[in-house]
Amino acid sequence: MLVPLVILGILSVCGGWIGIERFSAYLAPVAAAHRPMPAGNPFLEFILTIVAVLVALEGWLIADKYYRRKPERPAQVAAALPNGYKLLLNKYYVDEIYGAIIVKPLLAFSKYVLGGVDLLLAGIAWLLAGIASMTGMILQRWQSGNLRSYAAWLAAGAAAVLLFLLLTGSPHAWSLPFFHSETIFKVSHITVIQNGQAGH
Amino acid sequence: MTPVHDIYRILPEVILTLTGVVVMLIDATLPPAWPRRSLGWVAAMGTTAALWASLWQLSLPEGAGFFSTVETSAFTVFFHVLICGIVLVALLLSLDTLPENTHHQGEFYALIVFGAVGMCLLTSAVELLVVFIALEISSISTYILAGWRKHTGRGPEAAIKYFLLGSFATAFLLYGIALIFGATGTTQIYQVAALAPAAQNQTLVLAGLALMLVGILFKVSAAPFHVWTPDVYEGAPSPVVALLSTAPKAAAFALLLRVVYEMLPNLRSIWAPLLWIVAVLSMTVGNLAALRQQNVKRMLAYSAIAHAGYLLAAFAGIGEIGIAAAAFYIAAYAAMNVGIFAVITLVAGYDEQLSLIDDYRGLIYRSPMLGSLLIFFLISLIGIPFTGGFFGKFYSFTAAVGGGAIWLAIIGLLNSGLAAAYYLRLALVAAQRPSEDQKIVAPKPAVGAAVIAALFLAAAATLVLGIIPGATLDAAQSAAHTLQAPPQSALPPGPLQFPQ
Amino acid sequence: MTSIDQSILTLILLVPLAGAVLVALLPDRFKLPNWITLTTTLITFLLTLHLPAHFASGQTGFQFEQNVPWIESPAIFYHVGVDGLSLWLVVLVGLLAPIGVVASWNTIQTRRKVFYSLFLVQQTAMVGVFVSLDLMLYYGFWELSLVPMAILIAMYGRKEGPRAALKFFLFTFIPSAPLLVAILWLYAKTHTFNFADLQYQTASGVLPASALFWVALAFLSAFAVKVPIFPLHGWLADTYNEAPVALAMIVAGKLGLYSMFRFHVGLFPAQARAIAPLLIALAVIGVLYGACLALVQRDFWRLMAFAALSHLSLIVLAIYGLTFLGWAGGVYQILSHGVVDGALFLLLGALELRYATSVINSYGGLAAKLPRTTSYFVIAALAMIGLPMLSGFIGEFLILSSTFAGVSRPWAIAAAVAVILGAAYMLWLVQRLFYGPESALATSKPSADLRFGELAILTPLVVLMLVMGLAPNLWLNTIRTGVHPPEDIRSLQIKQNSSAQPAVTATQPTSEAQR
Repeated sequence: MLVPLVILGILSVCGGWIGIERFSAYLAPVAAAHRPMPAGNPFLEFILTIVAVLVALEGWLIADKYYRRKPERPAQVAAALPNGYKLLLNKYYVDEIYGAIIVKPLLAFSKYVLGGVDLLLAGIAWLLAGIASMTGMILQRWQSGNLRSYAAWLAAGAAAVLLFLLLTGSPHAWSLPFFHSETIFKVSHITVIQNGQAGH
Repeated sequence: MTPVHDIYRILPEVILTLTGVVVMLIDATLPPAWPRRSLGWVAAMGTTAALWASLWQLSLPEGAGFFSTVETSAFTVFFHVLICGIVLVALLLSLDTLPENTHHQGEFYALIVFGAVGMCLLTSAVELLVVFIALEISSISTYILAGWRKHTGRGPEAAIKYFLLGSFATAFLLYGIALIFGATGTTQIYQVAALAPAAQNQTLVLAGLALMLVGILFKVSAAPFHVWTPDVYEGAPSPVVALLSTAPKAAAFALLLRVVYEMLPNLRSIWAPLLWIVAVLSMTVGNLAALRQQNVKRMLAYSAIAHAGYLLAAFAGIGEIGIAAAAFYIAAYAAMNVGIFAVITLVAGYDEQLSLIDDYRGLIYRSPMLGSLLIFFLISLIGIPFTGGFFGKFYSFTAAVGGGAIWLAIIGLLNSGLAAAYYLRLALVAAQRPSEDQKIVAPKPAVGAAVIAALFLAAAATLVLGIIPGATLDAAQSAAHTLQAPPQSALPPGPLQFPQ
Repeated sequence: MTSIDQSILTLILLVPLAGAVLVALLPDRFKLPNWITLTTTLITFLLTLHLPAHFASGQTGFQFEQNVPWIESPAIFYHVGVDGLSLWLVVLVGLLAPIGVVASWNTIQTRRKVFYSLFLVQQTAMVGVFVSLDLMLYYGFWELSLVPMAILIAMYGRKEGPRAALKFFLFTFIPSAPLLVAILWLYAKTHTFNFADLQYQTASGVLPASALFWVALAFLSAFAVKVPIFPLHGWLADTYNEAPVALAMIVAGKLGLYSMFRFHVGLFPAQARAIAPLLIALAVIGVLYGACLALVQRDFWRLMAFAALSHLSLIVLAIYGLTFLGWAGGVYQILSHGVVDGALFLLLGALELRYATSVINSYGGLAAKLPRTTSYFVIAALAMIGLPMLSGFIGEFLILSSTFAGVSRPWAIAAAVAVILGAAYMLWLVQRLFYGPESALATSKPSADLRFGELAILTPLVVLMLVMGLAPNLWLNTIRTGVHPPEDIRSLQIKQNSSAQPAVTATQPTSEAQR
C-alpha cells in the first residue's frame, strides 16, 4: 500500500504542472466533440486558489486544536449533541438511504424480475425442443413392429401416390390448385425437357 | 465406328458373377474346419477388378448392348464405381468383424458379391424388365444377408419383414412396368421416352409412373414407404447394414434418376411436386422420430430416411443440375454412412453388446481413434463444412433453389439443424468423460488390416468430397450430361413398333 | 509487396492445421502435444504480427489478398484478405492462442492429443472467419468453428458438459440454416459469392427489396445468436460455466460482432439502417440486463457470462449506431474486451484450480494470501469497468459519446448507466473474492500465489491493457481505414441512380466503389 500512496503523494504535488495540452491531445479522437472553452478570469482563479488553500489551512488548525491540544473536547461536544453526533458519525445515513432506495430494489429487481425473464427465455427454448421431441415420440408410434400394419401403410402410401399423380396429371379444371407446380416451384412456365436439352 | 462386343457392356457384372461363383466353389471344396476369411479377400479382389473394369468402360464409346437392354455411359460408370467401392469397403469390414464361427461365411461373401451384380446391373439397365431382374437380384441377396444373425430374435424378424415388404413393393414396380408397356407398347426406356408423350392413354402412363415410383421409393426408404427401415437396420448385422444402407440405395436412386429424368421428363410438372412432398415428409419424419431414439442403429436408420429426403430435394433441380447434385450427394452419403456403420460395428461388436447411445459414453477416452472417427462421421452427417456431407447438402439445395423450390431448401436446412440435435447427442456422449461407476464391457474391437483399410477409405472419401469435391463433381456432371442426352447408338435400330 | 504478403494469410491458416495433424499423429509422451501446440501457436502469432507491420496504412480496401478458384460450379473461390477491421482481430486470435495453451498446460490432463489438436483446428476456423472474402468460404469456417468447441466442452465440462455443448451448438447451428439459404439465394440471383461483388450488387438495387429484407434478416439472426444479443443469449451462461478456460477466452463474441460489421452492415447497408432502431433498443436492453443480472449471480462464471452479454451489447450499440466514431470505438472495444476478458478468465481459472469452486460466497479475504493475483485481478477489473488509462476506456467512451451525439440521447444515457452498474458488479466481485473476512475455504486450503507460467501469460495482457489505454492510436489508425464512414453508404445508394459503373473485380478494394 505504501508505494501507491507515495506515487499519489508526488503526483498530488506536481500533477498540476503536467499541463492540459498533452491530455487533450490524448483525447484527440473525440476532439471533434470538444468545444474550446473561453479562458476564465485569471484574477478569479487566483482568489479561488487562495480561498482553497485557506480552507485547507483552517481544517488543519481545527484538527490541531481539537485532537492535539485539547483531546477531551471532541468527546464533550459529542456528549452535548448526541443526535447531531450520531447523524454526522453515520455520514447523514446516506449509505443506508442509498442502500434502501437504490441498491436493494435494484438487486431484488435483477434477481426476481430479470431472473424471471431469463427463466422465461430458457423456458421458450425448452418448449420448442419439447415440441420437437413430443412430435418425434408420436411419430415413433408408427413403428409398431406389426408387419401387417407396415404392409397396410405401404398400400395406403401407394394409393396416395397414385391418387396424387392422377389428379395432378388430370387436365380437368376441378383438380386442386395446390397440385399445380407453380405454387411450390415458382417457375414461370412448365419445363419441358427434350432429350439433350434443358429448357428454362 | 467399330461395334463394341456386347460383353464389354456388362464386364463389371461378369467379373462380379465369376467372383461370386469362384467364392462358392472354393467354399464347397474347402474343408469345413478351415477359416473362410480368405474367401472374403477373394471377393474383395474380385470387386476391385470390377471397379477397374468399370473405369475401363469409360474408354468405350457410349452405347447399348444386348439388344439395347444395357448401356454404358459416364452415368453408369459413376454408379458402378460407387457401388463397387461401397461393396469393397463392406467386404473389408466384414472380413475382420465377422466372428470365426459364423455360419456359412463363404455364402455370406458370395451373396454380397451377387448383390453387387444386381445393383450394378440396375444402374446400367435401359430396359424395364432387365431393371426388374436386376432389382430382384440385388434385393434377394440383401434379404438373406439381413437375417444372418440366425440365433437372435431380431435377425430373422428383420429378414422376413424386409422380404415380405420388399416383395410387396417390387410387385408395385412390376405392375407399373406392365402399365407402361400397355400404354406405349415397349419396355425399352428410350422408346418409352419417345412414345409416352404421344401415348393415347395418358392415365395409364401416369398410373404406371405412380406404381413404379412406389416400388423405387420403398427401396430408397422415403416416407411414407420407410416403415421397414428401422426394424431391418436394427436386426441385420452391422456390416450388412453398412452395405444395405448405401449400395442398394445408390442403385435405386440411379434408377429413379433414369425413370424421371430420362424416361418421362415431360411429366416433370407432375412428378416434381410429388417428390417435393415425399422429400419434406421423409426429412421431417426421419428427423423427428430420431430425436428420442436410444438405440444407435435405429437412430441411424431414421437418419437414413431423412437423408433420402435431402437427396430427393435435388430432384427439384432442373435438368443436369439436379442430376449432378443427386449423384454427388449419393456418393457423399454413401461414404459417410458406410464409415459410421463401420465404426459402430467395431464399437458394438458383431453380437451388438453395446447398442444404446449411453453405451458409447466416453468412447473417445476408451479408444481415441474410434471415438474421433465416430465424431468425424457424425459431423459429416450433420453437414458441417469441409466434410462430404456438407457439400452434398449444399449442391442438393443449390439445385433446389435454382429450380425455384426455395421453401424446400428452407425446410431442408431447418431440418438439418434439427437433425444436428441427435447426431450431436451421440457425438457428445462419445466425447464425454466416462463416469466413475460405469462398467462398460466393451468388446475388443477386431482391428486388422482390412478394417483399417475400410475405415481409411471411408474417411478419406468423406474428407476428399468435402475439401476437393471438384473431381467427383465433374464426374457427376458428365454423368448428368449423358443421362440427359442418351447416346444415339443406344436407341434401338429400326422403326418403332406399335402393338397392333 | 513481397511474395510472402500474398500467402501470409494462407500460412496463418495452415500452420495451426499442420500442428493439429502433428499433434494427432505423435504419441502423448513428455507433454509432446503441449509443446507442439505451444510452438505452433507462437509461430502463428509471429506470422500474424507480420500483418500490422506491413499494412499500408491510410489505404482502404483489402490487403494481403489471395484469390484462387476452388470449385468451378458453383463458383467458389479461396479468397482471403484483411482490412483495418479484421487485421487486429486476426492478431488478437494469434495472441490469445498461445496464452490459452499455457493456461491449459496443467489443467488438461487426459486425452491431451484430442484437446490440443481440436484447439488448433478451432484457431484455424476462427482466423478463417476473419479473413474470408468469399461468402461460401466464410460460411465453411463459420460452421467449422462450432465443432471443436462443442466437442471440447463435452469432454472437459465441469458437470453438464454434453448438455451445455448441445445448447451451444444448436443455438448457433439452427439459425445458420436460413443463413445458408440466404447465401444460396444470393448466388442464384447474382452468380457470385465474392464479397466485393455482392456488396455492389446489393447496393445497386438490382435485387428486389422485399426479398433482400428477408435475406438480411436471415444473415442478422445467425449473427445475433452468436454474439449474443438479448434475448438470444440463453447458451452463454452454460457455455461459460462448462468450457475449458482456454476456449471460453477465444470464443466469446468476436465472430458474431465481426460478422455483423462485415456481412450485415457491410452487405446490406439499407436494411441495416432500417433495422438499426430495433437493434439499438435490444443492445441497450442487453447492456442493462446483463449488468443487472451480473449483480445477482452467485457463481463467478455466470457473472462473467452476464458481464460479457453487457459488454458485447455495448459493441452492438456501436455497430448499429451507424456512426464512424462509434464503429472505430466498437472495433477497439472488441480488441480490449478480448484482452481483458481473457485476463479475467485466466485469473478466475487460476482461482478455481486452487480452490475447486466457482461459488463466490466461498471466497473471501484472499488478498493477504494471494497478493499478486489480487493486483492483477484489480487491474483487469478496472480495465473492464472502463477506467481511463486502461484499454476499456477508449472504446467505451467513443461508443457512448458517438451514441449521445449522433444517435439518440436517451439510449446513450441508459447505456451510460450500465457503466455504473459495471463498476458495481466488478468491484463487488473483487471485494467478495479478495477482501473482507477470510472464508473457511481460504483458510482451509493453503494455495500458492501465481506461478511463473501464469505470470508469464498474464503480464503481457496487463501490459497490453495499459498500452492500449494510453496509446490507442497505434491501433485506431488502422482500424479507421477499415471502417467505412457512413457517408460512403449513402454514396453507394446514390450510385444506384448514376450510370457510372465502377468495374468490380474480385481484387478491387471496396473503397474504389465510392470514389
